[in-house]
Amino acid sequence: MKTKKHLNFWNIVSLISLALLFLFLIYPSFSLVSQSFISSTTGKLTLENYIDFFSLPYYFNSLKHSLAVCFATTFFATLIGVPIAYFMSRTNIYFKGFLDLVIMISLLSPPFIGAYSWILLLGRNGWITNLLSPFGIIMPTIYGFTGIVIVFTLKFFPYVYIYTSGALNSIDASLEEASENLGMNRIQRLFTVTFPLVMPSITAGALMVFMTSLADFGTPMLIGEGYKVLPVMIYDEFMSEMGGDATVASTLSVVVVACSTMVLFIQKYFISRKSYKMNALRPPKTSILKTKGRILATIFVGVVSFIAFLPQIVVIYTSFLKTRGPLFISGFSLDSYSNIMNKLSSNIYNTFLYSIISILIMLLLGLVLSYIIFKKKNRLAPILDILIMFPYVIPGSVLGIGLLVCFNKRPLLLSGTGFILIVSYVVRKLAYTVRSGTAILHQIDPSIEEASINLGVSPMKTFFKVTALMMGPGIFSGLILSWISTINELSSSIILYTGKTGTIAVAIYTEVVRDSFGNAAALSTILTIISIVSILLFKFFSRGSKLNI
Amino acid sequence: MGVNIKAITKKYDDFIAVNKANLDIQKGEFFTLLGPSGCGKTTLLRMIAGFNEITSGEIFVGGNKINDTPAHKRNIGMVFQNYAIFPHMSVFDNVAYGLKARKISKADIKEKVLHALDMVEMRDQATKEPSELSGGQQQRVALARSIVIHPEILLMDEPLSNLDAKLRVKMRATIKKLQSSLDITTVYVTHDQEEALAVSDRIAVMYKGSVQQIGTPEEIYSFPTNAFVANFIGTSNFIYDTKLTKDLTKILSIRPEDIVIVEAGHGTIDGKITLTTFLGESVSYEVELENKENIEIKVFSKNIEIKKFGQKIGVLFPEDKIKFFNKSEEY
Repeated sequence: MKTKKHLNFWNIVSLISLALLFLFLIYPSFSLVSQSFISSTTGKLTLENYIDFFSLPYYFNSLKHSLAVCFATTFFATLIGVPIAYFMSRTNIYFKGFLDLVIMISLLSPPFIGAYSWILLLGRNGWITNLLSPFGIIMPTIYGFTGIVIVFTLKFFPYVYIYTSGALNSIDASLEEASENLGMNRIQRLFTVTFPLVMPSITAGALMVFMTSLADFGTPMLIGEGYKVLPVMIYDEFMSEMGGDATVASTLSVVVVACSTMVLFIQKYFISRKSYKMNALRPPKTSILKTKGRILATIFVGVVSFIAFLPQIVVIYTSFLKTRGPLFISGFSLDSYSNIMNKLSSNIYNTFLYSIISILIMLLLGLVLSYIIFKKKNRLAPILDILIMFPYVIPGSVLGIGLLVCFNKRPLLLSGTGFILIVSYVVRKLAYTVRSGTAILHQIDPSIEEASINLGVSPMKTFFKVTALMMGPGIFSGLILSWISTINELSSSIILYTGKTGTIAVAIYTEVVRDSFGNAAALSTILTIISIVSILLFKFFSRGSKLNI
Repeated sequence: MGVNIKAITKKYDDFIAVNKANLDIQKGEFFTLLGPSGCGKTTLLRMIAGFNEITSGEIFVGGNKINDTPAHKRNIGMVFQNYAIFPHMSVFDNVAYGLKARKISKADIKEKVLHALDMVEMRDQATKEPSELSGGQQQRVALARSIVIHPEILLMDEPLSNLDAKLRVKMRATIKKLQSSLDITTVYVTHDQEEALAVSDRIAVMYKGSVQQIGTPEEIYSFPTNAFVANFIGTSNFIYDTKLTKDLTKILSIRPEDIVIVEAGHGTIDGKITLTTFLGESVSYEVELENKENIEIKVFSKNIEIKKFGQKIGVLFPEDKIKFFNKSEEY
C-alpha cells in the first residue's frame, strides 16, 4: 500500500541524500568543469585551456603516459589474472584457500606501498640492486614507465582474478557437459563455451584495472620520477597554482574524467550487452590434475601471489630495522614505532576517527539508499542510483580539488577540517556499500516483508526489524571493502589535508618523500595489519562467502 | 467475519487483472479462488490483504470498508506461497512476531505461541532455526504465525504448491481441520482443481480477470455454467458437429466418464480407437469419430474387455449428461 503522503520517511531520506550529493559531488564537479573553460589571465569564457593541453607536449604527454600505462597494465593484469582464476576455480591445485587470501590481501593493502617496496628492492640503492651489482648484473631501471606498470599489474591483477573466478564458478556444469557430449575436446570446450561465457566478467575486471590505474596517484608519484601521468600532473599543477584559480588542474581533471567515462561506456555498451545471467545449479567440475601438472600450476599461482605479496613482507621487515636518519643500519629495533608514536600519533588517531565516522555514515546511508534504489521507492531513486555510481569515474585527487575549490571560503569554509575528508571518503566509497546492499536485496523475497506488514508491523518498522537485519551480511562485505579502502585512502587526502588533519596514508607519503623510510614502513605496517585483520574478520564472519567487489 | 467484495477492479495500465469481481464470503466459510495462472486470483487476494492497490470497487470485512486501511492495520492473516519465514528468527520468534507488534505481555505471548505451535504439531521445534526445517515444517510455522494473531480473515496464496504430492494431500487435510475447528473465514487461492474441490465450502472459478462461476464443489462440477468451467473443473469433450448440436450457435459438451461405449451402429455416433491408455482403476481411450472430431472416453477398468487400437465402436451420449454452451462463450 503506497502512502499518499509525500513527506514519508523514504522521500525525506532521498531528498536529504540528493541535496548532499548535489552539494558535495555535483557542485564541486561542476565548478571544476566551469573553471576549465575560464581563462586564467582574462577571466573570460574560453577554450584556451584545452587548446593548451592538446598543443603543449608538456601537458599532452601526461595523457599519452596515462593511456600507455593503463593499457599496458590492463593487458598484463588480464594475462596473469585469467589463468590464475582458471587454476584456482577449476583445478585441484594446492593451498587454494591460502593463496586466495594472499591475493586478496595484496589487492587490499595500501596501494603506494607496492611502489615504495619495489624502490627498496630494485631502486638505485635497492637491496637486490646492491646484491647483484658486484657481479656486474645491472637490473633494468624500476623508475618510470616500467616500474609503474609492474607495480600496477601486481597490485590490480586480483580484480581480473576475482571477477573471472566468480563467473567461472557460476557456469552450470551441464553447459560444459553438453559441449563435451556434442564432441568437443577440453581445449575446444574452453574456447567455445567457457571463455565466451566469462568474457563479460573478464572485461569487467579489466575495466576495474584500467580505471584504478588511471586514477591512482601514489604509485606514479613515488616511482614515476620524470614519467608524469595525469593524476600526478594534476597534483603538481594544483599545488603550484595554490591560491590561484586552478584552471590547468581543472582542465586536466576534466580530461581524466572524460577518459574514464569513455572507457566505462565502451565496456558497458559493447561488451556487457553480451552478459548472461547465470546461476549454477550444479557447480562446474574441477578437473583433477596429475601430480606434475598440479605442482606446476601451484608454483605458477604461488610465485605470482608471492611477488604480489612481497611488498607487505618488505614493509613489515623494514619497519623493525634500526635506522639512522634515512639510512638503515644493521640490527633490529622498535625505533621506527616509537618515532611515529611520538611524532605522528595524531595521524593514526585521525585515520581511525575519520574512517569510523565515514563507515558509520556509509552503513546508514548504504542500507537506506540501496533499499530506496532497489525498490524504486520514488522518482528520485534512479537519479540517486546514477549519482552514487558517478564517483567511480572520478579520481580521488579530482574530487579533492573540486571540494577544495568550492569550500575554501565562507559561508561554507570546510577546507582544513576533518569534516571535508570525511565528506570525500563517504562520497567516494559509498558505492561499494550501496552495491552490496542492492545485491543482497535481489536475494530477499519480497513476500518476507509482506509477511511482516501482514502481521501488523508498519512498512517502515518492517524495514528496520526485518529487511535491514537480513541485509546485514551482504552490507557487511561491502562495508569491509569501504573500510579498508578508506583507511588506505591517499589521493583525495593528500589534497585535502592540513597539518592537523593528516592521516596515516598522508604521513607515509610525506615520510617517503622525506626519506624517512623507517617511519613510513612502520606506518605502512599498521595499515597492512589492520587490512589483513579486517579481511580475516570478514572471512570468519561470512563463513567463506566471497568479497563482492 | 464475512467478506463482501463489490465490483472490485485492478488495472495495470491497459491490462485488466481483475474485472469487476463480486464475491460474498460468509463467516466461517472456506472459500477458494480457482483458476489458471494469470487469471487474477492472486491479485484479488493481495487486494484483500492490502498489498495491491484497488483501482475501483469496494472491499468490506464484517461490514466495514477496508479500502483505505493500510495493510499492517487490517488484521488479516496471510500464508504465502513460499511461506516467507523470517530467516533470522527462530520458529518461536517467527510465530511471536505478530503478537509483539500488538504489544502483548511476554507471558501471554509465550502461551499463545506455544498453543499455536501445538495446533500445527510443531511445539517441540520451537527453538529451531528456519534453515533446519523441511518445507512441510516451514508451512506449519507459516500457518501458526498467521493464526496466532486471531485474524478476522485468513488468506492463503497457493500454500501447498511447493510441497510434494503426498505431503500436499496431508497438509490440505491439516489446513481444512484447523480452519473448521477455529471457524475462521478463509480465502484460499489455488490453480489445482482437485485441491479446490477437496477443501472448499464454495469455489469461485476465475478466468482472464473475471469470475466465471461461484458455487459449491458439487455445483461447479456437475453444473458448469460455461465451456471454460466445464473444461477447467475435470475435463470435457466439446463437439462442434451441427448434426449433433442441432444449433449453429451451440457446442455440445460431455465429460469423458459420462460417455458409454456400445456396439458399432447402436450409439449416437460411431468412431474408432486411436489410442488406449491404461491408468489402473480406469482406461482412457482417444476416439476419432466419424465426423473426424476427436474425443476422450474414460471407463472403469474392472470387468471390461479393453479395446484395441483401430477397433470400431459405437459412442453413446446419454441425454441427461449432455450440456450445450454458447459458441460465443467458447474459450
